[in-house]
Amino acid sequence: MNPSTNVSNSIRALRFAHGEMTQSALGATIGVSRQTIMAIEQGRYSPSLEMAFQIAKAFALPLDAVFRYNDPEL
Amino acid sequence: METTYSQVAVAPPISPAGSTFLRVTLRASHRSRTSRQLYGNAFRWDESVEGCSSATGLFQLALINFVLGLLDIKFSSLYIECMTKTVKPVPDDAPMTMTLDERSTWSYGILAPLTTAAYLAVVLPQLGDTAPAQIEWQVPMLVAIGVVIVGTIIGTILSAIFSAVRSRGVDTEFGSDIRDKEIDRHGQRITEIITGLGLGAVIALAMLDLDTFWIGSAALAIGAIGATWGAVVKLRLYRRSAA
Repeated sequence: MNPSTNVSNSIRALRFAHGEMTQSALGATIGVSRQTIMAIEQGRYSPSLEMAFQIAKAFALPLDAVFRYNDPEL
Repeated sequence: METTYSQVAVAPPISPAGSTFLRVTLRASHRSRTSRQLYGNAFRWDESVEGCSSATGLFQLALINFVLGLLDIKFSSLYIECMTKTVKPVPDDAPMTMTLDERSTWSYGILAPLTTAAYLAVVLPQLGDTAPAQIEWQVPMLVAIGVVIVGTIIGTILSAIFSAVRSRGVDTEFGSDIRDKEIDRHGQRITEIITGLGLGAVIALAMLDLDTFWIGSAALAIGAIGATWGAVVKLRLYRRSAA
């Protein structure tokens, strides 16, 4: 497990754009705890590819509209 | 006072025709505004919840989920339902609580070294005037191991209940999700490395034909060191990935 990550995301903004969805409500949608959603939002935990797709699906958006990879070599 | 109906059904991950199907039905009468389902080890909330506010109901759910977690039942038709009338979202600024796995890690991370130290404090002083073969070490060791096992279960459940009651059930996690499992795997790997190396030391003691007192005590100490260090690694990962 690698808590530090180069993957950033727009989950927080998307939640508020979707009726101020709470972290717990998003967690409920994809079957994870509120703690996990918060860790992902803050970039402290990289979700699995499957979970990333599930999150994107919860917002009805493609994956790259939610997650971005910040290449450290650029 | 609302009546909440709780139901648990457990089936093997793959249920061929005619396989045994274990069904447990529980009825709990307690006030609750929860509507949730448990699949595998992870709660999936049908809607945002306020949570169960009854210690009895919380105890049942925590106990059931803990036992199922021990059995490592995954991707089965396991579900727990609390049918309720009202739901209320958990606000983002609600106090962040620990998951059940984190509570369990705290429990055994504290109990394992304490009980092992207590065991050593009981048996080692006897070496001054007693031969190792005459020391009664078996019962103290069984007590130490039992305290860790039972204490971890009770400590985890009581901690969850205390937290839920204190927060009026606003934010209580009884499940474990993929993040918990990843952290657990990491901690388990550390534990296995330490206990694996320690096993070599125990074998060496046996080869030297030392008394079983030394072999048993060394095995307990190594197991405690492995479990404790694994718990420390897990708790560090939990803290680093927390807010």
